[in-house]
Amino acid sequence: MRVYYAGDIHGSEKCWRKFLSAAAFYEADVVILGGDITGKALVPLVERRPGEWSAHVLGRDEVARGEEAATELEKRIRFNGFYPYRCSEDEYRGLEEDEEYRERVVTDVMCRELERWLELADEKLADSDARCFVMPGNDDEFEIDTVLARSTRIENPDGRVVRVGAYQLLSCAWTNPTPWHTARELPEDELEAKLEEIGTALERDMPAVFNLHCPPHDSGLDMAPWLTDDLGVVIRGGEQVLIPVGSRAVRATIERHQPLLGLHGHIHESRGTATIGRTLCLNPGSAYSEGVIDGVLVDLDGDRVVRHQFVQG
Amino acid sequence: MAEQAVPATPVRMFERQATGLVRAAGTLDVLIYNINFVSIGLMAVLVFLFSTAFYPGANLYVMTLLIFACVIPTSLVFAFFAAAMPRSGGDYVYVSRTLHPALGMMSSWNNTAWWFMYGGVPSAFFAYYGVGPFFSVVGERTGTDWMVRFGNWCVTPIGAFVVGTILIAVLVAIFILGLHLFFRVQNFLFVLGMISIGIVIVTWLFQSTGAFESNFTAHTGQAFGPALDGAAKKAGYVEDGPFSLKWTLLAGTWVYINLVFNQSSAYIGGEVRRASRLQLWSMPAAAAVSTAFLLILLALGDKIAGLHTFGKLAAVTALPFTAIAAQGMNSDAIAALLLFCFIFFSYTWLPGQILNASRNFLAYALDGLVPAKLGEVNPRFHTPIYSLLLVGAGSVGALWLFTHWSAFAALVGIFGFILGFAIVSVAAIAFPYRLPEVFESSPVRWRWGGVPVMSIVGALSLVGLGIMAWAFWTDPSAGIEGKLSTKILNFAIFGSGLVIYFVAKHVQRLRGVDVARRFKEIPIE
Repeated sequence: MRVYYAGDIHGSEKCWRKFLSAAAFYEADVVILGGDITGKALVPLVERRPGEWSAHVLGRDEVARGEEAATELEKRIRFNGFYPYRCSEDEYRGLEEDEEYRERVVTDVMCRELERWLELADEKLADSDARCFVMPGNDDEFEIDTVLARSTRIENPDGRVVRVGAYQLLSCAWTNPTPWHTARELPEDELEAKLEEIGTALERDMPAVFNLHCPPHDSGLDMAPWLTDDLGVVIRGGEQVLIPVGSRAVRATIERHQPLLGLHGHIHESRGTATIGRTLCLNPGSAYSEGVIDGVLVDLDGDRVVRHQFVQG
Repeated sequence: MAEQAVPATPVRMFERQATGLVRAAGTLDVLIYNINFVSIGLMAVLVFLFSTAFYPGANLYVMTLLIFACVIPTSLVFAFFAAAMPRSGGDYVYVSRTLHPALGMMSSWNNTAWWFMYGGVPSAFFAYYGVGPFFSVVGERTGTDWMVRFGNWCVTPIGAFVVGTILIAVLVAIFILGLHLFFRVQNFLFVLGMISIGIVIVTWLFQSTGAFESNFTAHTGQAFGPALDGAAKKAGYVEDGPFSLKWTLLAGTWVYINLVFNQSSAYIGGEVRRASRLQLWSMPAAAAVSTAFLLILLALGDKIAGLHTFGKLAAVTALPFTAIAAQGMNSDAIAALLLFCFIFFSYTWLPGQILNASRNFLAYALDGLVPAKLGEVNPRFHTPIYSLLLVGAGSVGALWLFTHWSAFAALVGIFGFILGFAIVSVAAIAFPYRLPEVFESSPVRWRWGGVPVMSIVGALSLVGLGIMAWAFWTDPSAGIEGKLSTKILNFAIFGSGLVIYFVAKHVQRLRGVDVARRFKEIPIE
């Protein structure tokens, strides 16, 4: 069985479209998107004059004059994994001043965009035999779960054990706490309890693949820049300092259950492999903002991993 | 098309609470990050030691500015790539994505191999310009024979090999045990290095020529005037002639060897590209600051003794300018402090070379291009032990070559680096056309007269690299013209990346893995 795993596309439409093509392109039997699928920012296009929109994109103030220019600007914004949002000057003021309203708009836009993505998936995967799993990650709001559930072609495996051919797939979107206080974070002890609870559904003699958004602590797959309290990068001796930020609960769960394979994301800059006991753990990393989907192909045969290959599609 | 503008009330974007949205590294951090890799101290040592002595008709001020002009476009090529592809980090991905994976491997391997080879150069400099002068000068001034003997031994081939090997071994051991220790002390060592430069600047600023010369003569026995002229002539010093652009550019090879490595911050991109502007200016700024320091030192050297005198002293004594400055001082303590502090500036390329080469091996191993063992990260220390040991062993081998084989001079490999930079520059020219979506969505999607600025910068970089390739080819003191072995070495290393790529591709195919698939873009229907 060939598995294609990727994660952390963070709203990049190009990466989503590539993910949908991955099964055919890599001849994979199963494709998994392991979390953090929604974008990180809303970019308002404020209509200051009729047919003229102002926006702040990637550190620059831009003005789009005419529909064609506005559409082109929206395309560029989406390419970077952000959500374009056309609004009037009055609505923009509302977005700026009313945090609650802003959050509501961001969530609405996010869900609408995801619905559009899922329509695309249902259409594109209609004739495919591959199973397609898409799971939220710690950055994804809970509202997207109901949107994902509406898809006819995509399965959300989060929080359960799913049978996939001769294997069982255990999935969990939650992570240990991060400095950003994102949607799906739990203290280590609670996360471990959650993982154990999901693990009760595992069948004893069937090889397992763990699809855990967060990588195991101190595995080499979890090295991220050390941050100051105000989220600045710590630089020492002319280098940014990296520290392990993965989950101890995830590590303990892997050590206890010893699945065949661990698939992880979350830490974009920590592409690599690690072996914990007899478990091969993989993190393909992420370069979503360049329109590139970092993934890994894994060939499984019985109770062994035959080969794996990192791919940048 | 959208236009850049400054609206009356700026519109902002709204970020969600999401992981990875970090503040950009501070301005000063990034600048120091890049300056650290340029190594102001070594650049000044090489210029005072070689550029002043063996290039008749060279104007060292014009030289410094010309080399700065040649370096800037290449610097901008990396800055533009860092802004456009902030997560990728490095020429391996830039070239692989823009041109072809085989060319990416060729370019990256070329750099890795030279970092490998160049492990020998700064480790020898550590003995030649750091430890050796400290012991011999302090020993001479305090009448301590063992220090003099040890200092003199350090600058012999076997002494430099032993001292350099110890440095390589210590650094590799530190890197294996984890980078935290190194990071903790590196800033401090950088400050020590800058203190040595500061001492020279302050001393030369306030000291008179007479005091400098009398102190120097008293401590070394070397007189100035006709005595120095005669000794210098015998030692190979070439009498100065009328201004020559050719010799000015050739003398600049010793500046270029340092200044061109100002793009290290290409590897510290931010998630949301607020950092992109910082990246854009920090690389050229690092080159500018380093250039300014060199100009100040040259001007003060000119003031204190005259640059021709430094050339003559370099030819006669082979002392680095720091040791010349120390011997020109009255105070033993300040002279010792200066030379002690400079020890930590004498090898500054080495840690970066070892780290960069071992990181590249790690990346190649993950991509199946070299044995997987080299990609293994030690579970206890979280460091790529096998890669580090390989790079350490290679550096010791290169150190032996550098200290024992005259053809392997400090400059010979820069020609090879230039070939690698040329591929990256070609990638920069092609980038807006080969990856138009990435380019158009990047903060550097500027155009001049309809032509992408990135392509223009890439073309200018090729011009600068062409000039420097000519200089490194023809430099009579360390160029590769007429030296068949170093020519072969440069082109063999350049081509070997391609060979490795295709051999790995074949081996992996036998294992059922298609290496070419690694960078193949998934088509979107």
